[in-house]
Amino acid sequence: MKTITIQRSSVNIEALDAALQAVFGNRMSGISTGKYGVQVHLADDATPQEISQAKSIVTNHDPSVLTPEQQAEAQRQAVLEQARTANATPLNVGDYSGQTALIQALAQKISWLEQEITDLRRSS
Amino acid sequence: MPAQWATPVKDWSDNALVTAADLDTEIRDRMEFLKAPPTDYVRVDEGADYTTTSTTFVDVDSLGDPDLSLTIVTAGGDVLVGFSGAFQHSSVAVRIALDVAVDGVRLGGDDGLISGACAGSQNGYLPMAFVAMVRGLSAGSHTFKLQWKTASATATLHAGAGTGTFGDTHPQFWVREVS
Repeated sequence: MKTITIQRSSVNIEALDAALQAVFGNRMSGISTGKYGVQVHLADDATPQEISQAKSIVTNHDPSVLTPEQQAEAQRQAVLEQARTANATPLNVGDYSGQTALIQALAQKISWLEQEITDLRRSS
Repeated sequence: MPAQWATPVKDWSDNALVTAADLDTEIRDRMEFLKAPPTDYVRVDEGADYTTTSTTFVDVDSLGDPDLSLTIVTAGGDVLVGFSGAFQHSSVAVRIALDVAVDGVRLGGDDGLISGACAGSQNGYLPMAFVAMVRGLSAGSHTFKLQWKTASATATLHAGAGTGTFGDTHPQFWVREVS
């Protein structure tokens, strides 16, 4: 394995790894970061051109650019926060006392699940 | 100068004269060596954690000042090498594996000395520690490098940067000749 080290501090490791994988595929086992900056782990027989290309990708990396997965996760979290805000008030089972027995049972189940989820979130 | 080990050579006999030089060589020097055998140690306290996406074993940090690469000069025999640290992973139930390369040769098998995964949740915490014995090392200088890999996604070793909840943990890596 040929490991090259590039000094830089801020890195979006998933995005940088994806960018390098897109170019090098199985010619690269991955990347690492630490106080030394970024290391790219290339194949033993990596050429000077490949090394230069890897250095260029790392140097020009913009950590603010998200991967599609990171964007999807950010969107999911935003939707979840909206739903939490819209449903901040706990279900009042009493509001369903005039409904059918089945609807009242469902309301009780939903209220129970709501309390369990709240408890799980507090303990996580 | 650190104490040097040498195999006792004097055969004692009844009524033999014991000189100061005998006591210094046969007892003092050897006791000093046993009290402080060849040892190297690092307690990591950095401003940045370590991360890796490598699916093959790579050095965690062998770039110096300080790092997770230790060197001792042994008298020949067995050596203990140990590590403890706290990890995180960006994916649930994805393995992180650790190994030690002694003079460039890993001690463990294909998946190292020890491996683990954060089972509970994404970015869950995973403490890992091991002590390994290296038997019958030849006398001389030997280098021990902590290595790691992950099955996929991103593994993190907390190194004192204080990131996240309970992230201000400090790994230790050490090596000591024991016989």
